[in-house]
Amino acid sequence: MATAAISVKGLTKSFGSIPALAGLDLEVVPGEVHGFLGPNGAGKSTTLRVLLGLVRADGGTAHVLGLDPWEDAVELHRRVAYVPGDVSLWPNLTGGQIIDLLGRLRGGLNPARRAELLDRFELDPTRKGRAYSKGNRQKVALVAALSSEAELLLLDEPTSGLDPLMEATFRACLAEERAAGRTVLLSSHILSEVEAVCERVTIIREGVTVETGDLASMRHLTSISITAEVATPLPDLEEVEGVHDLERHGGSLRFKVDHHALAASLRVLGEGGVTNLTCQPPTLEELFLRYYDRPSNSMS
Amino acid sequence: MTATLGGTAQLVGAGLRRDRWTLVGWITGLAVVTMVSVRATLPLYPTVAERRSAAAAVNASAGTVALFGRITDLSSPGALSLYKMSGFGGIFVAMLAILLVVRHTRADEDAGRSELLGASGAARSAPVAAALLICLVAMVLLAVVTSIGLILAGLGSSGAVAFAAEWAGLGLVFAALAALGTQVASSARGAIRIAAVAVGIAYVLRAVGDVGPAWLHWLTWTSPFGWELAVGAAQGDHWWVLGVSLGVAAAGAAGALAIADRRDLGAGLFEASAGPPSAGRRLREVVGLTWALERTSLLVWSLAFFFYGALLGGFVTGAGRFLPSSSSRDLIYRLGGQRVLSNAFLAAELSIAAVLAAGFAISVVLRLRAEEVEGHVEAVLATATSRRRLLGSYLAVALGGSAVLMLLVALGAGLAYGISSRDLGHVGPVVVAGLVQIPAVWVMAGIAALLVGSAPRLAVIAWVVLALAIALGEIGPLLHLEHWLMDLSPFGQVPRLPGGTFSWVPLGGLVVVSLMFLVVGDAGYRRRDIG
Repeated sequence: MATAAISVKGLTKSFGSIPALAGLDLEVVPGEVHGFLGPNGAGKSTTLRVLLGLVRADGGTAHVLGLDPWEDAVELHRRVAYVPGDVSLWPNLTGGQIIDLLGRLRGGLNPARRAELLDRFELDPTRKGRAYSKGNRQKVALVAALSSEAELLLLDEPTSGLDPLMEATFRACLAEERAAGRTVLLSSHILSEVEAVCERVTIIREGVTVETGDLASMRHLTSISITAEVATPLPDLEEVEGVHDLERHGGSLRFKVDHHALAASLRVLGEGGVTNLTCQPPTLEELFLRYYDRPSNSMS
Repeated sequence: MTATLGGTAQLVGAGLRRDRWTLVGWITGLAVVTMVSVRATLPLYPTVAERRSAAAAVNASAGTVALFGRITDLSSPGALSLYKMSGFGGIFVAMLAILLVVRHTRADEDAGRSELLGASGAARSAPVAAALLICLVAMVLLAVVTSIGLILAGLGSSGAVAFAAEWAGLGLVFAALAALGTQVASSARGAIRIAAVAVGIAYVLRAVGDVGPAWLHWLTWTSPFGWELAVGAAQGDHWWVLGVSLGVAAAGAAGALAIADRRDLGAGLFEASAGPPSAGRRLREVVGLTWALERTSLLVWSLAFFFYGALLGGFVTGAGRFLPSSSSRDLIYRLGGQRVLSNAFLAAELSIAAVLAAGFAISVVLRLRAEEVEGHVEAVLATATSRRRLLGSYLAVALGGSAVLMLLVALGAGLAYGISSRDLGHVGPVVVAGLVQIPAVWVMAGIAALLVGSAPRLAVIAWVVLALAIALGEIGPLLHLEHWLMDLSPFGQVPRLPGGTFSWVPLGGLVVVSLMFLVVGDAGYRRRDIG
């Protein structure tokens, strides 16, 4: 594997006496769209700010595109584009001026891509910064970042305030970025979005990484939901190890089963004369809740 | 009325709580400076004869009358001691009122807090009503504290209360004007700009009315400062004149409330128009951005400084012609000047201009901190812009801009002096006298940079330092403070020009000190967290 696009190990950072990061690890591979998940206040934005050299970590190491984000900030930022979580625009500059300015300060932007993105996001570039709504401010930052041709995109909850149509446009743009070989770190708590665009995710909580890996393998950690209609009551099903949360409503069954017990439970269903079967993989939401519902000390 | 002003009481309570330390600072600052100044001046003129000659000298100088107003009761001890604080101190009272009103109305609206309030059941005009009431409370407190201080300083109680009341009346007029400004401007900064321009125009109208030919005297009565001085604290105490200020304040407040009740939230009379769809060539480097953000402000300051200089320069010959008596020389000398009157006048006024230019420089440097709080610095530093470049762009505008301001004020003064005295040879020395102030201004900018770099949360202390420097310069000589103490003010280090002896040593020293502050500020800025 080539050098990691982002490599963070044991990152710590406190603001006064309040710890924000407490030994965070994060590894992003070049060319991937990496989901960065965590509840509010988990340390997502602080991590991104460390990766941009805006904030200096107290401990641990962080490398972005092989560079030290604090020491090599200027050199690094020519290759990185950033969409902050809370976009604030200069009230007297127009959206178009701000897009151009940020692009030029970074070292250039692709005018054709800029025009195309303005069109696709339906953004009026002649309005003054103070006149934009939250969603439109977000679009200004997105157009500036996506038209930059940067190697790495750091996006902090980029779709907050966007309507569903624009969210779809954003997802399409992200797919194009990936096809163009760019790396994306997408911080979010909108799980469906992460599920739709990310191959791998890192889940953090209270400043610590609690899970990282590709979505497919993480799904194996949780159980599958099964709904079935059967001819007989199937008392044996409760005996299968790995089956839980079993509910019966007349002839229909609903239960959850761990991955290793899937074959055994299907065998029981088959013998019981199953007439209808739906099988749902665990959603990211379930993964997410699995980590967040527990108190932090049982995490390790 | 109650139906349209629902929620006002709660807003007043919350606002006073939010501002309690700011108010304590402003009110004690203003009251103490007035008290100390009166206490120091009262014993200077113990006899009626001395007071008469000093007051006559003041009235004879067009320059001092333009700056501070006219003394009507020549024998009053209080009149002389309050002379500088009434009109000139009134500027600070007006600024306090303006900042209070804008802070609790348009600034909250810009930040989106008013929207939250509007949705919570508070009336549309409630924030304006609350801001005006907060200002009323502040002015009453200021009046009470100031009159107690003045009575303690030895001023008669009627004069003390009249002085405090004229300040409060002036503050309320500008509170109402600021409230109107917040309704027509489209941002907090715009509202402050409108109100500050109103203060400047009012001051000039009063000055022209007081100094100009008889057929212009009515101009004094168009100005809130004219109404303020017409009360004549400790020289007649014409209480009824307060009614003019209060009446205008009430009318202005009613107007602002009426507009607030009808206006869309976030809207102004001067709507944000559409702009260019792409950035021009100048918006390229971060310097271009800083320039784009600060150029309007510098332009307004530049015009104000040039005309201020021209106004001063025009009064110089008047000062020379009207001031032949030894008593007036004595007064100017005691006010901290030199033997030659016109030079003393110019030196004193250029020193005041330097303090104002320092105010500009500090406001520019502190804007970098405001940009950080608003999240704009994060966006800029996430691009290939170094922290040194960003800080440097603000320092360039602060240092370069304040230097331009001093050049303009001196050029205006020199040209007006030269033309009115038919001797353009005055221009050169006056310009030099303005330029020598620049290093002192830069020291104040350096202190602001040091704070923004190393202690961003305490950046407002730069204003406190400037206030201390003014206090040392204005009151230090009257109090016979130790020399080393007065020398702490950078403005006290500058050679007194024109007329005094020029020396490179203090100027070089000031430049070195300001450079040291800048270096430490830069080091701090590159090392600290942003946000």
